[in-house]
Amino acid sequence: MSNLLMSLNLHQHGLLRSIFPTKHPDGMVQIPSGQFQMGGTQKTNEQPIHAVEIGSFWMDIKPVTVGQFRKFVAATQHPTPTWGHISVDSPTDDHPIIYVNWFDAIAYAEWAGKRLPTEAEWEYAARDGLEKCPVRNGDAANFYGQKRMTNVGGEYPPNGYGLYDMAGNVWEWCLDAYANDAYPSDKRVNPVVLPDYELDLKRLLATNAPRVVRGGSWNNYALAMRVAFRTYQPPEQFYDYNGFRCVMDIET
Amino acid sequence: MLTDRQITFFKDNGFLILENAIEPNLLSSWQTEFWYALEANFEEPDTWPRDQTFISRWRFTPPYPNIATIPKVQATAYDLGGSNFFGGGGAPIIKWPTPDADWSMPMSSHIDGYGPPAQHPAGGLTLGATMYLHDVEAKGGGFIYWPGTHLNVHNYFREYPEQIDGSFLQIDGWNSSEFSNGSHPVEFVAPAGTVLLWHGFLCHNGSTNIQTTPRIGIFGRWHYTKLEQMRYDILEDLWKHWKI
Repeated sequence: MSNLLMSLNLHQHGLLRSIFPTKHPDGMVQIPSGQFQMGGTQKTNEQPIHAVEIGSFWMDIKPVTVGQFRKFVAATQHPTPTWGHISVDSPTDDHPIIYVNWFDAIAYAEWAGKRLPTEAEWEYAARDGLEKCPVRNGDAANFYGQKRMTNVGGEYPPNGYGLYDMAGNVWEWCLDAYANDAYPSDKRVNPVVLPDYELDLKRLLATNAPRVVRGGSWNNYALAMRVAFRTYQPPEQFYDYNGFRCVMDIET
Repeated sequence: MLTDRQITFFKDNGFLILENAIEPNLLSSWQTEFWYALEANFEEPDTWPRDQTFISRWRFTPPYPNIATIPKVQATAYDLGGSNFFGGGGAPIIKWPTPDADWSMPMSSHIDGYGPPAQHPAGGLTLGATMYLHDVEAKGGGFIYWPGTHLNVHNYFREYPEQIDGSFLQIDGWNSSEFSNGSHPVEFVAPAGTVLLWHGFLCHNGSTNIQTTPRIGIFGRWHYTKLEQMRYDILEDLWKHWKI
């Protein structure tokens, strides 16, 4: 069995079920289809900058909240998180859920009829239509030294698509497995990076390959909020800075 | 994987030193992130915030937010405790240079988990760790430890099991020599990236920094997974809940 990582076309391979809402989903915004230059030049794992074409999709305007996650836990047999720990840094139902691992995020998304964004979708949305997104600064986002806890979505300005907290607040889990050398030089279409033996969701759920997290957080280094900044975590690991948001597909 | 010799050393002395525990690139990244958080520059003393002695709630960028996630440290903690320990995070603690101060080896010590300066629950500490972010010279604010005193502390609690809740600190005339008697303090002098792991019962303390560069200690602390059931256990076998 190989650990070689490859790029897949998410939709062509039918890797995950597609969900096509019939009306504008609450709390989501439509991200238009388009092409962008993914990556950056500051770190080797962001290179090479390459063209990526992304289909249109719906994306949560804000990270999933404590209140939304409470409803999910109440409605399912999902293990109850330690609410006492969560409330220290996310004290109200409107704050983002934290201390969630990748499996928690996947389970919530499936329950909500959504899925996690791919890394490419996440970066495309974070760039808000700009080829070059400026480095965020303290006026625009919640990084270490600002609020010293998470913030309710909407406290900082949205990006051009109307998305809040794509920089700072909580690290957001993406669907993809992580590889330093994930980026090819040629164009990709709706890419997702997964180990080649994980061609179905059940096997994807069973593996501990590290997963991509994006966006930086309230108690991390400010420059980790840079839109091209890539890093990862083991999928079973969770801290006070781990959250997520979901997406839904749009039928084309 | 720890060798039999390392395990025996740890059991006898209560500490273990891991050289080059962190990859050079990761160490460099941690140094950058740390000084960015302080809004200061290691090379420029005028920028040092000398009234700040620790960074609260700080985490380094994933996937290595704290000392416990450094692969060599994580593997060693597992080799010692199996899956019986949890935690490993801790705040960076800074000892700013005070070149005009007098330096002497501390005479008193403490064990973590009981009274100040520890900020964690009473008892139940199993393993501690510290790593320097920059090289630390002699008299440079190094971590001071008393080798072998974990055995003294174990024997003390076997004799006075009712004091495992920390009540020894309330006894008139009690002082830390009850624990450290017979051992001589050692200064942990090491290059950046060296990790010292210590048994939770090992006596230790801080020291004054009379050198010219700050001592940045990145600390980690592990507790028993079943903390509430095990924190006040006085076991005949000190290593019963350890993997070693």
